[in-house]
Amino acid sequence: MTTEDALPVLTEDGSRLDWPDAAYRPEVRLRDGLARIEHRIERAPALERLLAEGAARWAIELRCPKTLLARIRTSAAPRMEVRWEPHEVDGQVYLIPGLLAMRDVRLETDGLNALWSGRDALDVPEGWWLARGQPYPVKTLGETILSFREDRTLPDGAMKVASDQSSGQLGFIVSLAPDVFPSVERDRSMQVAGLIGVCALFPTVFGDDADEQHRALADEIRGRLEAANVPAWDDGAYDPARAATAIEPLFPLHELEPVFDDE
Amino acid sequence: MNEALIQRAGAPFSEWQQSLAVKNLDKQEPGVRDEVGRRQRELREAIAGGAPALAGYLRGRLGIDGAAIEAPPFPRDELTPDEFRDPPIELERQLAAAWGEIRPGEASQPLFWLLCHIVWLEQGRFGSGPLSSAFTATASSLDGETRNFLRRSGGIYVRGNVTAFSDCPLARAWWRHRVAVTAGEAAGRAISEAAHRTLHDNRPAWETLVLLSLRRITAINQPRARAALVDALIDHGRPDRETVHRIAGALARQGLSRSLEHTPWEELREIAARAAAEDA
Repeated sequence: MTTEDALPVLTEDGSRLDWPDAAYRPEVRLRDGLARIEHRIERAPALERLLAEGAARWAIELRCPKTLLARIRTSAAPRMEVRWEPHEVDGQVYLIPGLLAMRDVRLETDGLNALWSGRDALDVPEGWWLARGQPYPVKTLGETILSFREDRTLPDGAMKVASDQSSGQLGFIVSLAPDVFPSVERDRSMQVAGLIGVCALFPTVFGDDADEQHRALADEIRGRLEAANVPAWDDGAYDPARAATAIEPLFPLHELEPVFDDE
Repeated sequence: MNEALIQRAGAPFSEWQQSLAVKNLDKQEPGVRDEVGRRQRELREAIAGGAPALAGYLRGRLGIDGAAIEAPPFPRDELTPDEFRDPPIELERQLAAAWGEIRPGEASQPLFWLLCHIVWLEQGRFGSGPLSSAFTATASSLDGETRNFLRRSGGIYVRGNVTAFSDCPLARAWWRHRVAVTAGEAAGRAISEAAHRTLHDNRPAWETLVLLSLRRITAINQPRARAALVDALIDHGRPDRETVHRIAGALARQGLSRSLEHTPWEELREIAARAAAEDA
């Protein structure tokens, strides 16, 4: 029974039944270039003992497929910070948290499913994922400030935008009529349309009377616009559509072509 | 490369590419075909006009007339068309050595490479003969010529992320050398030269490695996993697409339950070698 394929893993989404009462709850906060992770394991004393012995360490894996980047960092402390440089990545970046066996270990079976109850301990090889989280996509600036909601009071095809501080941080809500809301998750053009609406609010939200606590976000957005050589909201040439597509460019819709179709 | 220049040229670059390469062109309305054909002929004329004309055409389409472009130094006075289309391994090494400052976040972008090609055109790096021999040769139609040009000068949007790794010979040279060197570093022994030769001489294996790394089996981007894969390709000698599929698949299965970075090297190497030796 103790082939490697059958060894237990505590999954964040509970997709495996090895640990009936335990939970792995990583908290991952992501922004461009920085991730803060806090790993938490509950009701898994055998894993906690391995951590205390130094036989297991917390891990975070960084992947950026478009630049062929994948690297992993480990730590004895549950709070981790991972940084990456802009020139290392292009496009989507993912982080995958977990708990790793750092050497061949004996995993005691208390807390494990009854399947394992006939044994005192299991031999787990070095590198085994004792706990594994879901991939967390790093949010772009646009995704960080924007959220989409269904608004049943809106007529078909309608959209509206508003600022929102309900989470304690400034963000923007794009409300969509029920007939178009289901499409927004996969329709980038619709997402960018929402962002254009949000950018139209910037002169008001980030204007002279803006709340001081919005300064960091305003500076981040201004930096992005300046890098793209696009006027900011306090410039007479400010164009919300141009600003939005500097933050989140539109992508052409296309299908992939086969390799070497012309050669 | 100047990030602001890439940002500035980004939208015109997309528009330009989309105006030249249209999916299923022969099924489009006559008006669309005529317009695309007109633009493709403009490009063909610019190519026929020689390097300064072509560089000027490209700058105009990207909206960067007169802008300074910081391209990495070119290590040779000029390349022959054959060298450009399929750089010999020694040339790839020369290019990679000269281009140590290029960053992966740039090298994955077709626009970055097109901007470099503009500079190299202006420097006369593609010889004094017809540029069509380098950039469009072997195509049998105007549309094919156009697509070959887009591919070889940086990459074509319709091919997605893989284009800068596979279609642009000079970008491919940079990436192939980088993958070989990083595999050698992760393997902890001197396999970089042999890795580079294997990836260079077995283009289908390279194409497949890149395709899987970008889209389907991103776990093989972990340095030791890639090193084990490449090391197995070296030992195989004549790896094809299937060889890469088998090795990457075996490593990916292992990676579901174990960190490939923390699996002992000998185990990783054995997994890769066993998969390489399997019959297709």
